[in-house]
Amino acid sequence: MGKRACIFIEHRGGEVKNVVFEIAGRLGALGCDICGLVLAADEGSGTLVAQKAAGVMAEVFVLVDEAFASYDSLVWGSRAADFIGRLAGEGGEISIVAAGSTPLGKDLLAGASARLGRGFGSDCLGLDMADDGSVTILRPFYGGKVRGRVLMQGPGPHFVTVRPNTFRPAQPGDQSAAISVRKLEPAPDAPKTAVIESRAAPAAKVDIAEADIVVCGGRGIKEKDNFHIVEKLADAAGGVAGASRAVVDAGWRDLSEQVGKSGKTISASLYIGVGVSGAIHHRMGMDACRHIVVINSDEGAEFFKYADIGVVGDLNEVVPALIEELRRM
Amino acid sequence: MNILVAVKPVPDHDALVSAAEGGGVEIEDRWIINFFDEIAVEQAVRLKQSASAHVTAISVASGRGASRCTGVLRKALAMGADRIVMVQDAALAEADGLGIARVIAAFAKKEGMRLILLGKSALDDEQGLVGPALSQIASMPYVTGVIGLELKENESLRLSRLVEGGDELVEVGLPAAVGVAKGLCEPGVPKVMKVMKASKAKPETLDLAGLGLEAQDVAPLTKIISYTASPARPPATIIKWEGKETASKLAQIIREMAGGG
Repeated sequence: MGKRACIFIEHRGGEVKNVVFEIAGRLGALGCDICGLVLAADEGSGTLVAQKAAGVMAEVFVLVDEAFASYDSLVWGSRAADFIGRLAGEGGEISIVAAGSTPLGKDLLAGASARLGRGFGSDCLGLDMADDGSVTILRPFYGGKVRGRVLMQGPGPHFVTVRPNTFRPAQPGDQSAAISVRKLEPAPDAPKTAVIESRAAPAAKVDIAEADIVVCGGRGIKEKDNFHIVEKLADAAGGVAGASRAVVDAGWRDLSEQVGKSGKTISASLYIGVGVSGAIHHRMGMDACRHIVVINSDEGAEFFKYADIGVVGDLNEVVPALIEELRRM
Repeated sequence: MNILVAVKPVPDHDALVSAAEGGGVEIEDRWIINFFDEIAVEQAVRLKQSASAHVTAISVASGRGASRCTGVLRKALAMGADRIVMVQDAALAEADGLGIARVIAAFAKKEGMRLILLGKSALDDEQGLVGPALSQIASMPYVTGVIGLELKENESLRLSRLVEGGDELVEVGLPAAVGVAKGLCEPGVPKVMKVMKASKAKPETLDLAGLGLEAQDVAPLTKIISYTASPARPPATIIKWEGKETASKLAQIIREMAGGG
């Protein structure tokens, strides 16, 4: 019998995040018995989400509480930790609790780990378990300039978050997990965060931090009205558009699309930089991408040193022609 | 109203960081205040006027990091913090975020802090652990990704926070902790006189015992065994744009890369 592991099943708009399946892939490869945890505001939607992940786990628990309608660090972290503590007590030691390295996943597991007094390691590039059950992770430090191998110390469970596109996803098997619903009693005096107004777009656009393909536009685009060529290229390539800090600071694009140290770190399979200078603060946000293509008119552009493919040409010629070719294929 | 801001030194963006022989890490000796912490200090100082608040900046160090922490505390002072405090103890040498959070929580409780501002994460490990850990330890609400903040009657906060797909307006009662993000406010450049005066300031120092904590309260639960270099990419293949032909070739390459090749 393998070691027990628990995956936080993050969901949005009824869909389970892809990274959940990738984590299941890695934990399965490590021989773990995997259960999943859904936090949902109502039983119906929670069960639907659980069913979507059921093919890659042995068991899925759905915790139901109105408080799960919107994220609250203190409440969610406490609830998750208390449940995991009970689960470990009932069914035996849990080695790993894992989630995708989304802002929510990281914050939730960080809080839960603190409540249980257990170790936390985020943004795993590698996740290993030795025969004796000890868990080590490989993660970036100093903006990815170096990597560190980190030993999770003390008793389990060890809390880890995993970046999208790091592991191969588990394929749904014949098994379908047993789904248990637990309705939680509202905690009467818990201080809460109340949502007054939501200004979030519906779950239509994939977040750049989770996208497989990102086409990033920079100041070389020259004007806001020209940025649509980046969006069109992203579309033609099957990905999403991102933006450099300069472009966001200029007000052309939203902060949610910013790639870089003070924006988001992306781990796409393919990054295409269009008119991006590739300064260090930007590179730190994208140098973990598997394939890097840079389009720049300057043959000596610094960014080429960090790319797999460097295209020397005027982006206003290159991009439209590329869009046409990609659409034709 | 008592406001606490936690600040941390991190290597400068351009500082050379490399894996050393034997598995350690070598960091060029250029340290700056963590980007998001600077925003937190600026926000705290702006609240001073509107809320007649008192701002304390705190940094947590082992013996080695003390001078770096002093540096960022002096920066906070020059920006307008009223009081600067360093918690220094040999037992903190390998402390992780949970240990740091326990220290900050103990100080906040001791001093009756009503609002704690932090950078949402530090750019050395980007774990973002201290904020949520602090929330659990102190049983106080924590909201991260904050890009807008309004204090209401020193009783509650109206916050704009980043969520997937946009942002959200939330309200939370005090005491509370907030993880600030880019866009909350723009840190000003302190006046030269203030910088000069701050450059001589000595932070108050406390050790763990002074906070009623013991070494085991900050014993690390993670241990960095070794550092390695991030894998280097082989030199780029440079393609000169020559029109349609190049487009076709490039599109092919992109399709292959996109297909997970």
